[in-house]
Amino acid sequence: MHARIDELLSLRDGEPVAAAAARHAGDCPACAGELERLRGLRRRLRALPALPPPERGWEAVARRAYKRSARGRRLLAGAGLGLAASAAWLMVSLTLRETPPAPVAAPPVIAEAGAGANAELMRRSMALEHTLKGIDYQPNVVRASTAGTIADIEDRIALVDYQLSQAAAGSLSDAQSERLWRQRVDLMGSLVQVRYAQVRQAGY
Amino acid sequence: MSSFADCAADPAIVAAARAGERSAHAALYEIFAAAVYTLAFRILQSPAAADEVVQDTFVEVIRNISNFDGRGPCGAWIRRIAVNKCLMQLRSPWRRRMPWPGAFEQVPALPASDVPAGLDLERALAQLSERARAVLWLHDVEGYTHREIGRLLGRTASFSKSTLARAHSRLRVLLGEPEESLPCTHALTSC
Repeated sequence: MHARIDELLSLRDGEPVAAAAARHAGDCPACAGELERLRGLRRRLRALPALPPPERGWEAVARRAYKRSARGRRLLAGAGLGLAASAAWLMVSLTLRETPPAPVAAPPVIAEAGAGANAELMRRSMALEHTLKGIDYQPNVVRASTAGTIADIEDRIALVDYQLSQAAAGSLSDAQSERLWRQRVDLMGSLVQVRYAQVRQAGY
Repeated sequence: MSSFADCAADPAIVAAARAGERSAHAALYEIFAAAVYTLAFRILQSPAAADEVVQDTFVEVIRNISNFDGRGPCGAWIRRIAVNKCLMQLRSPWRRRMPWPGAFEQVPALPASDVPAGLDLERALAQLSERARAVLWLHDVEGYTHREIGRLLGRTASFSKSTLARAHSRLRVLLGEPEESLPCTHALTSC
């Protein structure tokens, strides 16, 4: 019997493989040819050309990476440090609890989703992701409990995302999908609050 | 070539970057940006998503390079961050719902004789599923082991191995390999 493709790949990569399969691949011209084809394909993949990164990419990186330190200096130099932090916190809290999400450019699919409950939850979830992305501050030292909380929330979001991915295959009802999106919004809200609490503790 | 294996940063640049010198940060970007972009584009097949991965990766590099212990190559550390960013993109519900234009949707069909070398492979790669493409690229090009890929995907080494085998089977079809050269994966009879 011919070697299977996974056995040939193992042979190609120098991984353990059943002795019979290895012996067969050495004796059988068809299997040897297939093995060589797999080696050649790997060479071709590795020889694909590098792609140039976007123009002005460094400027965009620098703008984001150094924003925190510049912002920190400004705040420390200013007189209204506490007031600014409180105001920012208040704004975020109000945004999370009361107002609809900012009119960010919604992905086309979401924009086409209409005014249904799921569409609204998707918009809120997306707005929270944008808010989270806007929190540039990264503390040098993180409390173990905070890190654990963040990791736990992120794991739960990942689980919800996985379940939502099943919805794409049509395996979830609308009600189940809505419940998952609601969970996602709640979890994202919690994550944003934890991250803002870190910012507030740091005096930003 | 498009692998991180071709990139290396001078230890002096890494040391300066760890000390917070912005010119050293920019130098690291110059050295590794193409490798990060190539990795991200090959896996995600979206210029916009790859651009985002490049930005996110280097923002994280700059913010955390003071914690880089220097025990391994800087490129391996940057690659690990970039791979994580790519996988985060794959897990994102936005990505799954957005109709990212395929990289080759805009490319008009060419007569076979006019197709530049490698383009057929690029097209075939673009048609693999995201997960299959990620496993194939990480394993065959970047040299990750099945155990490492399994861990990155929250699955097992066996999952990575079977995904790679399926990816190769699919690639062979997409590349139009002649059926007579494929007895190993189909025929169950002896030679």
